[in-house]
Amino acid sequence: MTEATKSLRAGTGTMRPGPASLPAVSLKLWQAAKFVGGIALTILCLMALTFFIGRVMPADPALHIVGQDADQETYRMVYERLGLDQPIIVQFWRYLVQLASGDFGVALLTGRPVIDDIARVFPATIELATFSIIFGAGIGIPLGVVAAVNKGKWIDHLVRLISLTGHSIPIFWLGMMGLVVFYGWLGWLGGPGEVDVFYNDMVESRTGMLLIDSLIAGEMDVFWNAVSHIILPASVLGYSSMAYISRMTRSFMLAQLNQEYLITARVKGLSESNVIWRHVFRNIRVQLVTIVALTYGSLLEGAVLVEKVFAWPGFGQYLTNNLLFGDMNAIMLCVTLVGIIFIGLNILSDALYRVFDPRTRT
Amino acid sequence: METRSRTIVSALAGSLALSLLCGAPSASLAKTPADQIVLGFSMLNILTMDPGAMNGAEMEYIANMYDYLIETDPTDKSKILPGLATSWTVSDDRQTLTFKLRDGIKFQSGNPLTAEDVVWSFRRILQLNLGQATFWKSFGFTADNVTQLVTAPDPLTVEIKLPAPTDPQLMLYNLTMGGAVAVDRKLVAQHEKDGDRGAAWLKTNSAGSGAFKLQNWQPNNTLVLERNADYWRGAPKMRRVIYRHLPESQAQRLAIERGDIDIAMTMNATDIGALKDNKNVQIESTVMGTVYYLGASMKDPKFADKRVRLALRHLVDYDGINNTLMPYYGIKHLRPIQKKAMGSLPDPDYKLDVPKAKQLLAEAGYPNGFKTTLRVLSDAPFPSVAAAMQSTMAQAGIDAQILMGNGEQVYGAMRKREFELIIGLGGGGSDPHPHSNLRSQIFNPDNSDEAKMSAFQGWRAAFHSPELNKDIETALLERDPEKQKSMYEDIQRKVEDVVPALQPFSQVVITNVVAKDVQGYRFHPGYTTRFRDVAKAR
Amino acid sequence: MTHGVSQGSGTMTRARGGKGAVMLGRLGAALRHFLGNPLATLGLAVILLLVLVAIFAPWIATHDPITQNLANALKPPSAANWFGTDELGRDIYSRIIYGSRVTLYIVALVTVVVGPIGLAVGVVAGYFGGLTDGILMRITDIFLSVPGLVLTLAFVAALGPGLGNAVIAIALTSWPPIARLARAETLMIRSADYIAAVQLQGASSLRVITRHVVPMCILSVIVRLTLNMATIILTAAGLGFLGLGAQPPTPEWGVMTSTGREYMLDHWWLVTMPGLAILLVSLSFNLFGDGLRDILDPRNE
Repeated sequence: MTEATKSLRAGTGTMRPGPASLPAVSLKLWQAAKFVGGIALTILCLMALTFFIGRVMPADPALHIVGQDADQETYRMVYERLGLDQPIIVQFWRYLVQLASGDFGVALLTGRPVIDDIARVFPATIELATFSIIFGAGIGIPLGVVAAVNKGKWIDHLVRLISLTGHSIPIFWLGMMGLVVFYGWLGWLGGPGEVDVFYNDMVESRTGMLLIDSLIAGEMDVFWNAVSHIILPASVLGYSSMAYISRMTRSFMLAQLNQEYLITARVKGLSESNVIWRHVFRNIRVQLVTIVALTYGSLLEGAVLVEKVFAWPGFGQYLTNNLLFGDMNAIMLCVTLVGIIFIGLNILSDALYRVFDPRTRT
Repeated sequence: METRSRTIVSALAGSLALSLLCGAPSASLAKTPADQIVLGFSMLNILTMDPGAMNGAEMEYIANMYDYLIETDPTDKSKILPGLATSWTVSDDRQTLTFKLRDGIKFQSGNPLTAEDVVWSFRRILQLNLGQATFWKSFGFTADNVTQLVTAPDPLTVEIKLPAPTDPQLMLYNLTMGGAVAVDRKLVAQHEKDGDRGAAWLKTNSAGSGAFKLQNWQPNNTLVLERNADYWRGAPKMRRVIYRHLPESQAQRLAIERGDIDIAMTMNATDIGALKDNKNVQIESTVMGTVYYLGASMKDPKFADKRVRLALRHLVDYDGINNTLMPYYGIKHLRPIQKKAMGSLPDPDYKLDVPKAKQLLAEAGYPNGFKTTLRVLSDAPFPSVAAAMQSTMAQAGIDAQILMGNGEQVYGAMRKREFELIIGLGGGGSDPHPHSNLRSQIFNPDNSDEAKMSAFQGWRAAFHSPELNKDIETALLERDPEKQKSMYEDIQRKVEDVVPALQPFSQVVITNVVAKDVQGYRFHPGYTTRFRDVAKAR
Repeated sequence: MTHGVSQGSGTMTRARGGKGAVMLGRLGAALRHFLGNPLATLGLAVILLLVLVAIFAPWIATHDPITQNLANALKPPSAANWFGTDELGRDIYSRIIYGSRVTLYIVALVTVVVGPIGLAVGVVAGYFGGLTDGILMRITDIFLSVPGLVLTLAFVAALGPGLGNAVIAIALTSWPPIARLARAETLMIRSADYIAAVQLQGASSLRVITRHVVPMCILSVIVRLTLNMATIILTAAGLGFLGLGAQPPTPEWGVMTSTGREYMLDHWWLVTMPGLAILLVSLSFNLFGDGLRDILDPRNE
């Protein structure tokens, strides 16, 4: 995100107090255009790459539609109707033209508008990721603080071991084990899926997020059932993100703990926990929020495996299924969407890096 | 030190409180409601709700949302039962089928169901020219001639003229499955776009006269059918039939053990076997008409040699595979024509015989065997069957590298004639007529690459026997049932001698695990399982 | 992991160092520091053990990892089969022992490919700046704008399943973070006074890069690669789980877990053993890498 950071910095540079002169404004405009153009170019290249990969793939959506026993004429007709007989470059161009006219296309296999599909599956993933991050940050940050305060002690090592285990455990394996134990043996939690299936359709979909929708509708049965279903996948996903959050928290804390103002505070007679929670923690909270935001994005990645294990009707599963069947319209929009989210996060991380790295701060 | 540990305690308390909050009250585990049936299975192949466009996997929903003219008995699929038609006759020249419809049937929309609707629906299949058209085209129907051949002389009569001589019984069977249902023409017309005959709308909506209607379908998540209280046969007992996407076999097993689903449809043998002694479920197996086969491409000069194919025949441990790997998936069956069909013969005595295979390979010029590839689906039971065949072939020096893939990759390669060995599933037999199996496995009207007869497995494997082609055609037209039967027996003996490209080793079995309190559920060997009579004993 | 910030923290690890003797002194101090971290030492020990196991697999294993024995299928752990047997009667202990070779093969191959590529791209982009930087970083950004697993999945789907293709796909998606790290390091080094001095003496760009820039970034790149190894192991296992990784009968741990899950409800050892193996090894790489990062982090001093 070089262009991005450069322009970001340039942007702040021009924001001096005083009346903005005309050249400064046009420079800003130029920078902004360059910034947006850079992102657009990245996304376009990403789309081209995705399209190319998708077409090289030995998946055949036409055969999937007509079935393996169909005669050649029928197969050919569908193949051509999907435009698969055209050269890749022509297909890509057609896609772009269609996109430019505001049409995101229909999923080749199910014939539904891709945008509707995504509007349906995305909230489910957001819901899962939100629960996961509450888990990951809620446990990871306190652990990180504890580890920093006790740097080098056994408790530091213990925290390190616990959090790095979360980062080293095969997430699908942990999910399967969790299902067997908490759903199969103990029966404490709900099984695969967002909710027990007969609760489906009991709540009108407003946000697409079942927990919120059921609360709005006042259907507490559905709500608690959905809660019992989300705990396991969210903990599994959250555990993997906890490692990163607690390690970063520890790092930020250590940087603060050496600062002089703390000595002053201690000399003033403030209690140690007071010092840590009132002063140190306050100073690192912006950094922590940023880290949590970044982790939130990375949960999309873990969701691919977790959603498969838990039959979660989310974005990760939608993307993998379509990838395996070569449904390009669906894949393209998914990848573009993920691309935009990730590029946004990268810009954020670059900005963070500039702001917080003492060596690059001017 | 003291203050420090207080910090730790408060931090840990925070974590603990949070995890408690997350894990607090788990809702009481509910069982499935008494008036709904919940099924767990893999929905990956469910693409459309349009009877004319589906490719097979969707047939069960179609059979519940729509009605066929005639149906087959799930306990004996050669027996034809009335559906929309109360009676049907075959003309003396065996070229015209006439169906008399039941009077007073209404679609779910309230529109009356007439012969015009049926005719429009049948024509629509050919005009759409999707998966279901293949059936009709095989009889010689085309989008052009169907308007003359399928007609409605009066509102309660449907007349089907066959474009070419055939066994009318075969046509009757084909009308009991696939897309041959009555679609609500007037309702569809309201949703037609750009002359698509409702193709876009019917993908996600139902317009039938069946016992259930489509309430909600989310691909790869859930599909909900709701009862049609005005159903002409009487209202179904179940209020809803719910399908849930549970691709993992273990998840289905846990769910049925915990009572979260009533019927598990796509479980692996290991998980089914583990439920054998579970008192709350019953395991129900249904023998289908399709077969598992080992196929060899005769485009490959090695397999074009009859001695090599004969060697392959002796390199499969038929009993071992069927006894240890195929329970719940298949039962031993080594002939093209399915069990119980007309002319079906007992299995020939093929055995794993490595020395004989080695000798045959040596005679064919491969004393040290050869390298080849073996394509299989990555779903059970294929990988373990492939591993077993790989190891027996290796004993004769055939080094077969296993290539796994999904349906499009495995059968896609076969359809393009780009394979060496394949373990496949298919070979006709969705209806009980022996012609269905022979046509799919043996018949090959034109062996040239350009002909692209990719619906025929015979063509895919480049197996071409003009003599057998002729025998199959003659047997189909034979009017005397006894003679026809013996002709089919002769064909199978001939097949044994010529060593075809496809060697069946097992006939397909579908095994479902059903909760004990489910009554009246009978899986249909033609994939048209109906829920109109299913109830729960609670 | 989010690419952006872990790269950032990697960069933060290395102090703007001097050269030669200072470096050596630092290294000694670092070693002492490292050995003072029991977990990192443990991680290193396990990694060394893994290498030994892989080398001496034929002597350590008790059975052939490939040969099937259907009569002995699905037997629980016993004196004859320490970790039990799988669905085809193969000894799980021996398969895990041989599987260490596959794991090391994947990790080593990906690292050997990714390290130089990432380093080269990053250093060149950072050193020359301008258009070169723009183009190279644009490519890097494209790869970074999708989650690694999703892109790996797409590449494997395009290339076809298999161990070799999995390695290629993982390598294709794991060089960009390295490149970004190397670039960030280079940007900082480039502005150092001694670089300007060398340039004034008339040294060629190639010489400046290989003699002065690369040695300065290599340490943080190595730390990053070490931390990457755990991710590689998990990605390979994830691909195996989705049926796109190594193909049977290769004793790869991810595939063993994936095929074993069919039996997990009744025969726990089929998934548990390879799952634990993956956990142990990837945890060791993480502990080792984390320890390395710690000693190189200026804030720990």
